[in-house]
Amino acid sequence: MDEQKIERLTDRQKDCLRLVAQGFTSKEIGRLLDLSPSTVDNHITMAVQLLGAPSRGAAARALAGAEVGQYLPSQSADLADSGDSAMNRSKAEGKAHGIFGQRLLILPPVGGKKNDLDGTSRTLRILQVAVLATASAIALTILISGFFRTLG
Amino acid sequence: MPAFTLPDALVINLYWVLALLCCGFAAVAGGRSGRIGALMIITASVASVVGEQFGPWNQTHIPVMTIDFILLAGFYWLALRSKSYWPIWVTGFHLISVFSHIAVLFADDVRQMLYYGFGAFWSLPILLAMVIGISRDRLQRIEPG
Repeated sequence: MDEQKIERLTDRQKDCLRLVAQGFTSKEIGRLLDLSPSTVDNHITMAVQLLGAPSRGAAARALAGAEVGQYLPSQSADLADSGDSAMNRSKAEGKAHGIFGQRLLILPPVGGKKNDLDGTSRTLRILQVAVLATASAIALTILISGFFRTLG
Repeated sequence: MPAFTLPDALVINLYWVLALLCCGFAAVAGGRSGRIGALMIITASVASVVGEQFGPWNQTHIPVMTIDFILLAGFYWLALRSKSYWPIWVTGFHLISVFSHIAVLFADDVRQMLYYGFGAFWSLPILLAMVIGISRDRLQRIEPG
C-alpha cells in the first residue's frame, strides 16, 4: 500500500482501522471511541476508499503493516474479516472493559473537537461532568473551610 | 477574622455584566448552539429574578426550581443535538444546581444563603464553559452547530 495514502488517513480513521485489525465490530469500536456505529462505518468506508482496499480487513492490515514498517501478506477474506474466533472475542472483551474503564475517568473536551457522540454517550458524559464537578466542589469547600479554621 | 463580602447589589450587577458579555459572545460566535444557549440563559436569568420574589429560601423554592428544571430540559435537548461539546458541560453543571433543589426537599433545616449560593454558584462555570468551548471550536475551525 502506498505510504502517501496511509498519511492521508485522519486520526479517527486510523483509530477505527486499528480496532478493526484487533477484531472489534463497528458497535464495539463505537463504544470504545464514543462514536455511533454508523459514524464508525463512515470512517471505515472513507478509509477503505482512500486506501483503495478491497475490504475493511485489508485496509486494517495495510495500516498495521505501514505502522510496523513491513508489508503484511494478504489473507483470505473469510479468515481476515471474521474476527469471530473465541480467542479474538475474549481478547476484544478484555480490552473493551479496560479501555471503557479508562474512558470513564477521561472528561470530554470542552471544545476544539466535533461532537459525534451518540445520545447515550452524551448523557453519560453529562452525568460524568456533574459527578466530578460535585466532588471537586465538595473537596474545595472542605479545603477552604479548613484553611479559614486554621487562620481563625 | 471577618470574612470579606461584596455588597449584594454589586455581586448581582457583576453577574449580569458577565452573563451579557458571555451570552453576547456565544450568540455572535457560537453558531446555532451558541444563540440557543445564550437565549436560554438570559431568559432563565430574567425569569429567576421575577420568580425569586415569590417564596422563601428556607425551603424548596418552587418558582426557581421550576425555572431550573425547564432550563435543564432545554440544555439537555441542546446537548443531544449540538455538534459542540460545551453544551454537555453546561448541562452537567446545571444538573448540580437542580440537585440542590431536590436535596432541600429532604432537609429539615435549610440555611438560606447556602441554598441560594450553591444554586447560583454554578452559573459561573456554565458561562465559562460556554465561552471556552466556543473559543476552542473557533480556534480549531470547527463549524459551530
